[in-house]
Amino acid sequence: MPVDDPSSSEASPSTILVIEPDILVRMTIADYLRSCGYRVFEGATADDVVTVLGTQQKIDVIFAEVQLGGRMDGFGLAQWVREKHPGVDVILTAGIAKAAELAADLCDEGPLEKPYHPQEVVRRINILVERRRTAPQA
Amino acid sequence: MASQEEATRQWAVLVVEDEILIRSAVAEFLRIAGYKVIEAADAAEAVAIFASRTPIDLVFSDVNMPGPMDGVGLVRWIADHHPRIHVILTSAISHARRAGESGAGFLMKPYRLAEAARRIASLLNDPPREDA
Repeated sequence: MPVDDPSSSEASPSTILVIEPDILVRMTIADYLRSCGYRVFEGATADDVVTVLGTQQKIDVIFAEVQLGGRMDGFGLAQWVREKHPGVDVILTAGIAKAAELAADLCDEGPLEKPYHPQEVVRRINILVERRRTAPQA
Repeated sequence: MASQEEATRQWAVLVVEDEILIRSAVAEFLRIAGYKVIEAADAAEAVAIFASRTPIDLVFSDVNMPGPMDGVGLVRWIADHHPRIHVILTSAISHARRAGESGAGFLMKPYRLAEAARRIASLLNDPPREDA
């Protein structure tokens, strides 16, 4: 049972916003976190964070790659969130292995059991990326 | 009539939409409806997902998106590379004619999520498309 949400006595899933510019990494990490019982939103840039946090949608954790395209990188995003939305946790990742490791840490706190080892997350991403690399050009 | 295997299989829908709030709302609604949903923010991401050989049964795509390929271009690409996959395009009335001429299904914005789900279910329960 998650212990980070004092407002809820039941294990209602927390909501994570995954910000990752590489679609294959993003969808795999998002899938993994959903398998752990989290509600997951997906975005690619810091602007997506600004948009979502500008609504009534409650976000508990932002899981963001450091190297983002657009006007703000992960560090700038974390600073912005700390200033404007101090109740939202920010986890910064750099690279696939780190993202998988940190996602696994979140899954350890998630409502459901971790579905598979984080090494499997890395393996799946690498397979998808290799397929993309070797796919015939459009 | 769908086989028992087809009836229990989880269909995979690729939602292609650059506006995160719309994309997230559609994706979440379809997940609750029982679909496996993959999200793409533009046509380039959709193409990357296809290149990774992630199984996709239907594409639900906006027309007007940033980048060199819009939704109509994506329909053409899918017709060339994955002709058996159903596509539904969505747009405001200003792009309706282009979307309609693409050969894909069409749903005008704004749309009710339940109607989007109904249209998707209708296409997925139809017999598979013939190869081009």
